[in-house]
Amino acid sequence: MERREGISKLLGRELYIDDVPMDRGLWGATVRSPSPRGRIREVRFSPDVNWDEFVVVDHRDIPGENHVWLIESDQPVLAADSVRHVHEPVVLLAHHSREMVHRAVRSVEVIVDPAPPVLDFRLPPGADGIQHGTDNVFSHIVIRKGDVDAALADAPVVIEGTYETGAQEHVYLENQGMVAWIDGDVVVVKGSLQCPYYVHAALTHGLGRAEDRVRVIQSPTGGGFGGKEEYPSVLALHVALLALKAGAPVKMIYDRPEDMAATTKRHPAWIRHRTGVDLDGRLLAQAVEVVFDGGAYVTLSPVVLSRGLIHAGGPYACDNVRIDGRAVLTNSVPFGAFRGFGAPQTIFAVERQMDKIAEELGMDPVELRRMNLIREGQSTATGQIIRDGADRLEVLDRALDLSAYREKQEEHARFNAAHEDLRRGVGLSTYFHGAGFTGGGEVHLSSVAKVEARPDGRIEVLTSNIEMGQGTLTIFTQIASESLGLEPDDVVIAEADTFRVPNSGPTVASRTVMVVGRLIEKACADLVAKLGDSDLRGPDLKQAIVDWYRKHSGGVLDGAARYEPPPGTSWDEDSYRGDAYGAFAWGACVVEVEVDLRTLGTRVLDVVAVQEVGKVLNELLARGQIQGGVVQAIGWALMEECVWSDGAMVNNQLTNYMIPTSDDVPPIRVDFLEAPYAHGTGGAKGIGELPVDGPAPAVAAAIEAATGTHPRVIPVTPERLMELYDGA
Amino acid sequence: MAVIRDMMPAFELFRPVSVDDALQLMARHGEAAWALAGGLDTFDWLKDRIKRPEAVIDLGAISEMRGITADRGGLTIGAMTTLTEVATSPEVVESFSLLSMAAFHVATPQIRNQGTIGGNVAQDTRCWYYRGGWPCYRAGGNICYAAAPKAMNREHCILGAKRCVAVNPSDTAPALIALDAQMVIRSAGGERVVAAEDFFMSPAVDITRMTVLEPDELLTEIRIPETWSRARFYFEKVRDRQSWDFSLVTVASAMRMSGGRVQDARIVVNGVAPRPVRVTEAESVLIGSPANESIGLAAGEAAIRRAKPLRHNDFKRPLMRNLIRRAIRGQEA
Ligand SMILES: Cc1cc2nc3c(=O)[nH]c(=O)nc-3n(C[C@H](O)[C@H](O)[C@H](O)COP(=O)(O)OP(=O)(O)OC[C@H]3O[C@@H](n4cnc5c(N)ncnc54)[C@H](O)[C@@H]3O)c2cc1C
Ligand code: SF4
Repeated sequence: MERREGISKLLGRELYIDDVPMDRGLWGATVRSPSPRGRIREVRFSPDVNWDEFVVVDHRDIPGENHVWLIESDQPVLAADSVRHVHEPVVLLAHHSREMVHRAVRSVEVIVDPAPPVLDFRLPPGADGIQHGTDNVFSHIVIRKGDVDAALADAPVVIEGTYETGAQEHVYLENQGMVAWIDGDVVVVKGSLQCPYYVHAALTHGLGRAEDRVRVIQSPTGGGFGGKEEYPSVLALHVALLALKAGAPVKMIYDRPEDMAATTKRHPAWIRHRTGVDLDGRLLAQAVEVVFDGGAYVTLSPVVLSRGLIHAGGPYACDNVRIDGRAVLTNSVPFGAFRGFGAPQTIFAVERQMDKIAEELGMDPVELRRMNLIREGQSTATGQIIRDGADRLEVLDRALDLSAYREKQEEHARFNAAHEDLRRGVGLSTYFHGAGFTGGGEVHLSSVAKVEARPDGRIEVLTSNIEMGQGTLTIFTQIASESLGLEPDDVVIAEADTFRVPNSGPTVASRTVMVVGRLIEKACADLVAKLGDSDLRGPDLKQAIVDWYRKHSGGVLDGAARYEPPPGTSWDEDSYRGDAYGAFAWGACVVEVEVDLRTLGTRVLDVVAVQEVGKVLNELLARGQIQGGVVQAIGWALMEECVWSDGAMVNNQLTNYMIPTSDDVPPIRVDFLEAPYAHGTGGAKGIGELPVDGPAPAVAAAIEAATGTHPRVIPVTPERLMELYDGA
Repeated sequence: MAVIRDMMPAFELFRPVSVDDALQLMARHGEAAWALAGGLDTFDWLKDRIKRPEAVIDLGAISEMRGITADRGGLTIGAMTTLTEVATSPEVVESFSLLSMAAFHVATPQIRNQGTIGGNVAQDTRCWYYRGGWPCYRAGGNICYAAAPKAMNREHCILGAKRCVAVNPSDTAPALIALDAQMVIRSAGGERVVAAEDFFMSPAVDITRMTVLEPDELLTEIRIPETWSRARFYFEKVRDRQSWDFSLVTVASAMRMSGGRVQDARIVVNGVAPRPVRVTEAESVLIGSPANESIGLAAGEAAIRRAKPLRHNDFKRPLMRNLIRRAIRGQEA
């Protein structure tokens, strides 16, 4: 099937928000805090500028509540009397000229009486640093299974390791951008975003407007990776405030330096493992401490932490587990959602810890994993019993076979002996990713999808799930056309416009196909049932629709479905026990690297990623997801380093923040195993995030095999490796 | 906290078709003039509004400034010749493959198709404070942000800095110095020829300039003498990723061997000092000795003896030493 928007993207015809022409509109821009923490003494407008030409908005112009609606209401839309991070928005400006408004930003000075900032999340804050509760902890979660202390005390061997992962910038191709205008008594916001109803809720709260007086429309979105999950709510509020005050359309488009400096990134993490094992390598106890840097406001940190912790034990069976995690405040630009949502960090740590255990026991890391991987009927850290028919050992073996892991090890021994400067090595990781929202999240969301028949027999699919490059339009077309026996051209996907589409939840958490796809199938069945014959398909169905409209002039033939949890699942939010996810996808990754001992640069020579994701519905899209995820993880592991000053990224340009180019990654070899998931669309589980979980620890393990060093902090830049490898 | 960049300011655009016309325009507009070659460095400055020339003189229509011609065993390369043309020219590849390798290491194919060799050697430093519009020494201010105690200076100098610790970003520069190229510079007043080695400016001489080019001068061509034709060459650029990235440390060398010993050598390193530098300490260890691993190591050690790293670039010392060592010994198969 042809990609729905493929041709228009290829030809440059897709209109992203910055491409949409604006009649008599204004350009908006943001004046931000220069300081990480303090009270705003004064906002000084330079007398050199004629401010009458500008629309100026500050916190006093906010009609509703001055906070960005999300988990907690601590983040102001615009700082009122104090700031908590550099780049915190304080004043908004708009002008007819894009140039003038950007120039004017420099003529507004925010003067802050500084207070001592908290900048290192790994250290406990001093008394003068407390800004949230009594301890700056946004969220503290403990997962308990069995008796860890007793098991550690009895274990023949206890192994400790500490691991750290850095922040990561999303680098979506299209920067954040939005337009707002007033239509009668409705505020309309259109822009680049992942979650139309999050933005809608933020606008109703912040603007103090009824739900039907706020309308959010998604424009074609050039990548998100989580970066357009919560941040667009902030930008939407800003652009809407300016439009309301101006009484005219306003457009705000961040340029790359502003986008990189002021928006969210992946949470930096510090993770400590103490693992009790027996002499054969069986896991007896896992004690894991996790700290995530949340940045200055709560945003989504508690849920990112939650997912991180649920994955912190890895895909292994262990009877005694304690995972104790905190997301804490620092005076940094808030961290947020990023593909993987906390799991890549904790999986990096547990996989490195598995390698450390193997080394200390003198065991083969493959065999250590083989022994401990969850078997059918065993349970995860939250006590979720896995009975999904997936064969995790086969995933592992397929990765070993495809990569020729053993042969490579032998080949590398010869290669390394024959070379003075070059060393090769191979590394492995095994991992898992829970698909859909955690715990009761899907029940709470209670998503709805709709389909509507058109008088000409075509079917329109209405959801709030969006295309951002990952293929939603295509896969939804495929799901609807296959379930109705129609041609792809008979299916239309509605624009994600809150005036038309129901709330089918956000486009996050690898849930779109698995959860919403299923709702589309059910909505299709609901529509067909209304025609009196549930077996109608294909041309007969089309004809029946045409006939229905002839008979019911003015009527609308539609179908709808609401989410229902899979039978037999249970989750207890208070004790963090039960079925954390409807299903897990499973993966194994093998990475081969070459390290130049004279420069300590690392090149990735080969990557094999094997995954079990239920049924693969569209192989091309699925491979694309895996390959893209692997590249993103390689960048995070080797070169993507955010450089910080006062809690703000200072290498906020694409010449200083390195993402991999096509010369930095080898062809990525992808393979799938399929164990259909009974409650996912066509047997599918989520796929979008799993591929980011595995490569980083495998890269580090490969470097370890090549050099004999023990990388426990990523990115493993040449400098870091040079510190570890003193023979350079 | 100037996160938002300004729009490109307006300027007058000229498109002369001869060098003479261009030089007249340069003379007329003086400090307010800006020569435009491929635009890759130029447009960054203009779009960020950090430089605001009033007259932009586009050299793109001057055909006499473009092309590669053989010249008594050497080559003459017009300053407007693109990096792709330099990298792929059969004459360059055959006799001066060092320059071809260097040109191939610039950025990406798109940038090499558009960027010129003249622009490549005349480009400004990539110090991110300076490029971010910070009012540092080089920008006419009275501080170097990159040398401040909490500064980010991973990409900066370990050698020869004077107030400014920024490095020269050009990949072709060290190769041109190793080949003893001559830079032909013209102004309305006449022509002068400067050795590539003397073309690049140290901040000790003038902190606001990267080269000896005066505001009214153009680099018109680069002459490569026969001297190093088909010598033993070595080029290696270390960078954070394999394309679209500036050098951390680069070595370019040319050696002549005689009876198993090094008869003559020029070893040039870029990315370590304010300008690409010949490492004479290493050359003197080398000349008269066999080009092997231990001499390489000795030469490398000699080269970094005077290095003074900043807070975040100590890694450049072993890197420079190891690259020199490898340049002498040659790459492993
Ligand atoms: C993303 C990116 C990555 C890059 N990576 C690399 C890299 O890895 N290695 C590398 O070496 N370079 C790199 N560059 C720099 C690029 O190669 C140079 O900027 C380019 O070669 C400049 O050449 P240009 O022809 O575009 O010159 P322009 O940008 O037009 O000019 C550059 C400067 O030289 C002056 N100038 C140009 N021609 C003349 C002349 N004939 N006489 C006098 N003055 C002149 C101009 O006035 C201007 O100040 C990169 C650039 C970008 C944008
Ligand atoms: S290194 Fe040079 S260019 Fe950079 S801040 Fe210092 S003076 Fe300016």
